[in-house]
Amino acid sequence: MRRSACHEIDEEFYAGRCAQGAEVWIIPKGHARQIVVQLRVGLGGLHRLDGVDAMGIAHFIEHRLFEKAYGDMSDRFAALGGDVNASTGLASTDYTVSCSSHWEEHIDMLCELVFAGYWDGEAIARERDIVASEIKLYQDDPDWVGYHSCLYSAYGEQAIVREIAGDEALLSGLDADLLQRWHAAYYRPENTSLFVSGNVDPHRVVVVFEEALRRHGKELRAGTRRSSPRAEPPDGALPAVSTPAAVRYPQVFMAFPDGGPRCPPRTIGRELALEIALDMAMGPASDAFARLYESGLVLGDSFSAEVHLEQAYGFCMIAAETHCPDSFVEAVYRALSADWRSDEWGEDFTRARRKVYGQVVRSFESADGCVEMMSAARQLGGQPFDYVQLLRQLSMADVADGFAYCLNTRRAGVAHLNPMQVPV
Amino acid sequence: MPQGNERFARYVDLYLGRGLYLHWQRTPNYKTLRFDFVISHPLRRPDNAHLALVGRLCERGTRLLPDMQSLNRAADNLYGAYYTVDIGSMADRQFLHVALELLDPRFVAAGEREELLLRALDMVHQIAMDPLREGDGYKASYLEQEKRALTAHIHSLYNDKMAYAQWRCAREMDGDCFAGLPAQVEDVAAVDPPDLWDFQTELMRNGEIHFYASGWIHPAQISTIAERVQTWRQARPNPVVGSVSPVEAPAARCVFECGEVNQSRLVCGYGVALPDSAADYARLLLFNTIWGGEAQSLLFRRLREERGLCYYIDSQIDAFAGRAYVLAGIDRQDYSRVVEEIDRALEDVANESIEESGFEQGRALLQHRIAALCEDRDALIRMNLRGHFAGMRMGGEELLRLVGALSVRDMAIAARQVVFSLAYLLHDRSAVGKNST
Repeated sequence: MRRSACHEIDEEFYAGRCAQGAEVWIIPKGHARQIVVQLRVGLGGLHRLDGVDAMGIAHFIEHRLFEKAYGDMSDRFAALGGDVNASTGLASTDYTVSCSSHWEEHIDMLCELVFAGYWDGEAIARERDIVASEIKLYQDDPDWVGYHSCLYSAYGEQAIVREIAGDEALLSGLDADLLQRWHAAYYRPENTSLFVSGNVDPHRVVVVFEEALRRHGKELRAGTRRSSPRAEPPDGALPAVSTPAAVRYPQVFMAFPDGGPRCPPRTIGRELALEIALDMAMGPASDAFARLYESGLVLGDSFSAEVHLEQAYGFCMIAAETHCPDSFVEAVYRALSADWRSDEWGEDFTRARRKVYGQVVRSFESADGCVEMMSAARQLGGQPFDYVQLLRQLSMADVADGFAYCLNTRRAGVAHLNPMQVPV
Repeated sequence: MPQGNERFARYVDLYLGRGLYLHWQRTPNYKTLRFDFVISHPLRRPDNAHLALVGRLCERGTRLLPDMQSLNRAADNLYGAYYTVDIGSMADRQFLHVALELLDPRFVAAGEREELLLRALDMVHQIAMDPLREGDGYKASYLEQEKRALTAHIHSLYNDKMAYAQWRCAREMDGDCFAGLPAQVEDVAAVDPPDLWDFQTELMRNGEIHFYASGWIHPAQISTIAERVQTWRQARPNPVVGSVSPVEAPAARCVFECGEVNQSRLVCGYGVALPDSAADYARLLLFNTIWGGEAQSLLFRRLREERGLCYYIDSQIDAFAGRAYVLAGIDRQDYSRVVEEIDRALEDVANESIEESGFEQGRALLQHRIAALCEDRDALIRMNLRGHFAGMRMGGEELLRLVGALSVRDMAIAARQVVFSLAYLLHDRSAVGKNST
């Protein structure tokens, strides 16, 4: 295993690879009560197989894997005090367990959970109802509707825009054969990464993981790691989308997709640059935010501005409740269109970089924070301590690139949620 | 690297006089220092609207940092110190909570370490107790703006259908006495500037203050903090003793409301006997884990996994408010079936008809959650405050021990103390009934 240390934040990091090809990343935390283990499988909504994309399928597999012939696997985690959960994203599916003890058994059970499929027809039918219920639940969530609608305006008809849980038509077409085929193609040791943080011996983690893979993944053939297709924005955004929704006040969602002909690769450095760019332009200490709030253009505490960046895709999203959606959009455009290559931003840049430094150090405070940092770094082709080192090297020119290739008003997708009748 | 040897690094409590409590936790486990200022007041109408506005105005600026932007810039310059102002409630108390988290000086440039702690302390004091003022009160334009913002925030609760349904259920259960959060719109509209300033002045003079400091703080720094915090209050307050009033469950009924939803939201409200001891409290915690609070619970297993009746189902117990809720996203035609299943699960626990294995899984999971508390400052503060307000001190180790001693029979005792009060259904327009009871 390769060991590296970051004295600045007083942490160590171990990286290695199992005999079966799976990656293992560990940040030991001797004093932590909590141990967090995440097994990442490189299958997300953007992946494809036989010309079909994984939207709906990856998520359904994630749901189904919890049930085995003998019952629900989460009971076995619970019996050892393990809190297990899973989530499907655009580029991966993550299975995470947090526990205070028995981490060796939990790693073994995670491997069984992930690699041992049980594709019973009756259970699949029951799962369709559960996922259909989940989809309906999200359809009532204005944030979810706004998120997808503005991505549609930015990207058009691309997989990134679709509902990760699928839709009823897709669900009705899912059967054991199809799920098994996808599972066999993607759920392979060489397509997985294990992230661990807590009071563990890194070398022991590798031994335990290799044994678990031998036990539960032995029938899987060797292959190569599959990369996901990229979601790249078209040259210009589509018209704004207007959607009626059960909300009290109008809401605006704006997506700024990362891309374009000379766009630099999506790396940790770019993520940091975008965080700083967004904070300088629209953060709580920015001139633009002060104006938006003081003028009443933003209602209550509804304003949000976020960076979403992985190697396969990237975008920033800005959203708010407002009485005047058009004025809000104009104000955001105005704020983003400043001359970011001029010398006047030095003080703001220093402030925002200092703030992001604080956030990065804080992220390594807990075991679950460390797992999140490893997971995020892996998605961007780097390593967790790169966040500390690259932040030091970042310049205002990198931030200006963030405005040019991502926070670019020409490619912004906009969605308006308009209130339907609501109870008095 | 400093070493921590306590399993549960609980807060050490110190009464400083004048209604001021200092609680500190010296632990090397964090990369940050955190200060939490909590001032409490009885939970009642319309004071809940007053306190909500005081909280919002805390974030609009202080005498020395007179607008939101200067306040936020000052926080950013403290290496991205992160501050929040929240209003919360616990039992029959509501509180204003100002938290500030900043990097441990070990992780900042050597030249800036010295003053960091004092600058942060000063900032907490400014935000919590020294708001921006105009003449003898709050700046009128800011107050008006924050009244509008709070009103919008209350209205926007409707955007989150499950949170809205739970709030409606709680409100229906308590009728006009309902003083839960968020406050009611009519109470916000009625607030006038002099009244609010009087409320703030009285609160700062007499409200019970709990100040929490945690992180790798040197004992000498704890003395400095104690000295500094003591200067924040000059006048001697009338101490308000924490007490919990008995909560009665109103007669059972159901309320249907029509809304623009794709999926109906069901919230069942229950009255719960208030815990008299830490053992009672531990029993309720485990009961909730077994009943519906986790993915291994009876409700999750039966309604979601076995019957496919829902994706989301959860039970929550607010023990010191004497309330419990079951929340579910369902198809409206399944309403009766779901309510029956929820009832049946409660009955089964009350009749001790639950599997020993399920009980043991729930216990193991809860024990893990309690163990994880020691790394969650918010949870530790809540535990400390709860103990203070309810008059029962309990730490993580004690809770672990109490949970370890519980049996299936204890779950039955807890279940029998949970009494159904109200089923509230937010449904789509073609639904089962209209505001029927």
